[in-house]
Amino acid sequence: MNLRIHDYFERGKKVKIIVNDETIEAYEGECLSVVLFISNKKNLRTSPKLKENRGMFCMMGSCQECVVLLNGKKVTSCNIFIKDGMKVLTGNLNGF
Amino acid sequence: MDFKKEYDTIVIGAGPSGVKAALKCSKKGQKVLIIDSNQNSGGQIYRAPPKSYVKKNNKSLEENLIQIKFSEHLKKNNIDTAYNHTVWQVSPGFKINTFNEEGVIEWSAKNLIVATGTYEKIIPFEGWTTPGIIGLAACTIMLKSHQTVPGNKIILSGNGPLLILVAYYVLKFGGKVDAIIDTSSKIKWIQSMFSLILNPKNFIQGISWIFKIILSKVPIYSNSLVTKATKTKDGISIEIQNIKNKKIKVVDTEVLAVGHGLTPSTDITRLLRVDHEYNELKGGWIPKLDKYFRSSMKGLYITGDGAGISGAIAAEDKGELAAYALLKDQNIIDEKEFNNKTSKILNRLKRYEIFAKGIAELNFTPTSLIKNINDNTILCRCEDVTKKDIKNAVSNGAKNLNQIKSWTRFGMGPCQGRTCQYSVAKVASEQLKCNVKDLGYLTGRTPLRPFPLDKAIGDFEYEEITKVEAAPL
Amino acid sequence: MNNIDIAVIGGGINGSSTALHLAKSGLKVCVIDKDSICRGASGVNAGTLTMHMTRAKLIPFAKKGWELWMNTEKWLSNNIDVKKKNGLCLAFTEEEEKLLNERSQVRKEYGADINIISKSEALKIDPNINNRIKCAAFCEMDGYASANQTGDAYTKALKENNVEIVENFEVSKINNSNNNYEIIDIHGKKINAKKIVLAAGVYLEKILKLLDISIKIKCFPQQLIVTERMPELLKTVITVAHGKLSLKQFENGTVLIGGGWPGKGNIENGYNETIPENLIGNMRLACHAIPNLKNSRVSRVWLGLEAETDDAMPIIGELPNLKNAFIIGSIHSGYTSGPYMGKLLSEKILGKDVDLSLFDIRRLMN
Repeated sequence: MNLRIHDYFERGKKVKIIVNDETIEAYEGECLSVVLFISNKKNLRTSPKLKENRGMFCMMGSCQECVVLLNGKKVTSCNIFIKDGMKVLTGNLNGF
Repeated sequence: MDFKKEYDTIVIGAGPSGVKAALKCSKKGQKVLIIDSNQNSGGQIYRAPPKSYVKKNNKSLEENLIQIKFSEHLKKNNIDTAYNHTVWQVSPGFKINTFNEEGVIEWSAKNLIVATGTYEKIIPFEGWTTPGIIGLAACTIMLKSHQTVPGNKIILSGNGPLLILVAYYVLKFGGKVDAIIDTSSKIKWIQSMFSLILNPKNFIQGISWIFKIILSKVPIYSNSLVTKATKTKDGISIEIQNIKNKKIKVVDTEVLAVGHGLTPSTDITRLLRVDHEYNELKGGWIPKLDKYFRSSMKGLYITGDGAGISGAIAAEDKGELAAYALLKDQNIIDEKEFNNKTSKILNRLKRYEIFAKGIAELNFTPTSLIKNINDNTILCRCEDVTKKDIKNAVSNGAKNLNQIKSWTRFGMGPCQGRTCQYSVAKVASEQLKCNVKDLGYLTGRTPLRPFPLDKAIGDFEYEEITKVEAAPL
Repeated sequence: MNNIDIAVIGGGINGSSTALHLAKSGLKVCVIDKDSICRGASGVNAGTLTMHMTRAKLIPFAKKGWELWMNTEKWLSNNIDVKKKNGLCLAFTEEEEKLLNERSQVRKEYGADINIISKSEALKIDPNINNRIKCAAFCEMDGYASANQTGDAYTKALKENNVEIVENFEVSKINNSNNNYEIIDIHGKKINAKKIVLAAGVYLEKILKLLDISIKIKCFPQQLIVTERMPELLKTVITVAHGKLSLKQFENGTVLIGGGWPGKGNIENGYNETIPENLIGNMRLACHAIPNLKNSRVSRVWLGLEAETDDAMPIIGELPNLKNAFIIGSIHSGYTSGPYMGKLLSEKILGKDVDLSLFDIRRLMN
């Protein structure tokens, strides 16, 4: 099933973002963590002691589990909206 | 938008409560600013789709219409709106510091209305940190705001009305709900109807949603909880246990949405050190408020679900009540008008309080959920602190949440204990055989949200840095 | 609780270190605290173990303290993270270069192995620092401890040495008669001891008044900032010439920014509040020193209260006109030297010949 529902709203134009080394298609202005979630990129960060994979959890900017590196800076991806050419790094980055 | 430096009243949170409070203050001549970290008004319950989404046709979700009306009213009443602003510091007096894409900005106001709503309570279980497991509220936001179904296979678990709401929307959008795992019994739901019916609109809507779920033949596991989640090659394997007969069933899914009710957001009130009280039915720790939502700090009013869970409709009334209290305290309206306007609202709220109690009972945290947490389960996700770590600290003499935090690092990560404070308190109180309220709550700290250093420092010359005198030699 | 030889009022690093060393020599000791031990400055400071920010006259003591910190498993416990690191003190302007040269020289005279190095040498030691520095001072005897673990570590060590820890005991009266001190809390609970040590940190002025001694103790609320966990951003412990920055990155990846920038604090009700301009000033200084720090986010800010006497030197030793009463406190950069100062005082109390004349409280009394 196409997980994006187009019944009520038209999304912005189609753009490309780079996640680790992979190019992913998305719509401009979509929520970054949602795009990663449905693009099978659910592992966003690594937990500090147990080195577990973690991903989007609360979608309210509260839990900080969806933190990724965007163009070098740490961001809470559920508060970030897709722009063409975004470079996102996820996963274990030495204490990330 | 051209912001002023100072306002009569600042409202933090543009959900139903904050918007109504702002409108009421503005209508009586106050200069009002409303701040929200989202792109638009509506809060979480009426969260607008992203700005880049354009309405396609005449079909509309009701919540979207309500949200659009909020924004229209705010504009019409010349209320300044600061969307995409994250509040990082609030000082008494009041000074509000925020950051957004461009940098930092500080505002001051004589009065402050805090309408920051709630967080979702999620009681940990083994494997709850697996990616693909999200909150029920998170799922709601994905569906209603982002117009996206989380996955091809979805299971919902937890308790309360969000189970119904999320199931309904997944089905409405053409998705599939493979199971609903509810800690409540079907009898509890029927019992709660007597309270829920006092909000007829929501009640009827709820009943229609339940019908759709039943007609769609979604398997419902009542009196059950998720004991374990394990990552598999293609998704997540869920272990469901019946609380009564302990029977276990294993089901595979792609996405698990879990939620155990809501708990008021007390970040700002704890930071300002106002008095709080513990009320389990209202969601946990709430600021101590009079019946007009005045806090223990002059000029500070707390409204909406952040003042105690009672739902979105009650939130609007609470916002108006707080605004009237503010206007009276500022001598903008007299005693007569105050009593006149507020008595009607107070009567309405009495009804909603009963409705709220019904919801609260459905969201009540059963002890089975706490007992289900095993020693190796992570409680603090930010710092990987397990139940065992908490128990050790308590055994070693830690007597309250702040001390447990100091010794285990729980609550020291970027979420500042928002996600885990409730469960840690439940676990520790069980071990100490004391009431949850005896453990206190985590001291509020700046920043209220992780504060990007690049925004904080802006562009500066080294010489500009306000230096204090050199330390003594 | 019977037959207490010594009651230590105040269970921070000074009081707890004194108590620990007294207990190790066989005395029956009790530590009293109005809260839980090490929850004051000892539990919330930046944990810097450095010579660069230590007052010159206190360098000999800080060196001994540093040695103790590097060997906590021998006398404290393993419940606290301590790391040895190189320490760089940076100068960004010509004026700061002059200040750094002067101050490092003085500190060196007091025994600190601090040497001025060039920009390129400093960058070799830590490539993360701003390459616009003029020069730096280098010291190998540097590092940090995780201050929030202090309470846990001392509780374990004190208990292992049979020290009685009495928490949530707020002293309101001290009666002195017949070789006995009767210490009474706000609820009327009593503890009797033959000797007392006042180690109440920022509350020393208040406690001294209970013994009719008037000393002004200044109280400075200071802000500390910690970031989220980040990949490696710095290899050393960083300070600056004028002393108003400390920067370190813990093993867990978080970076702690300190340096004594003031916030607002009320010693009476414990209320404290951030001063945003000071926070931003501190952050700017930190990001100037380590430019890549601006890619991180601040996770939390807290305040600690630091105690200081009028001449910014410690008070350690006997209390005048009283038998068997001692005091320890107001030690600038006291976290580094606290363990050693406590040891010194314990030796004094045990009758050994210890020269504490530099810290005599009488210099502050008229």
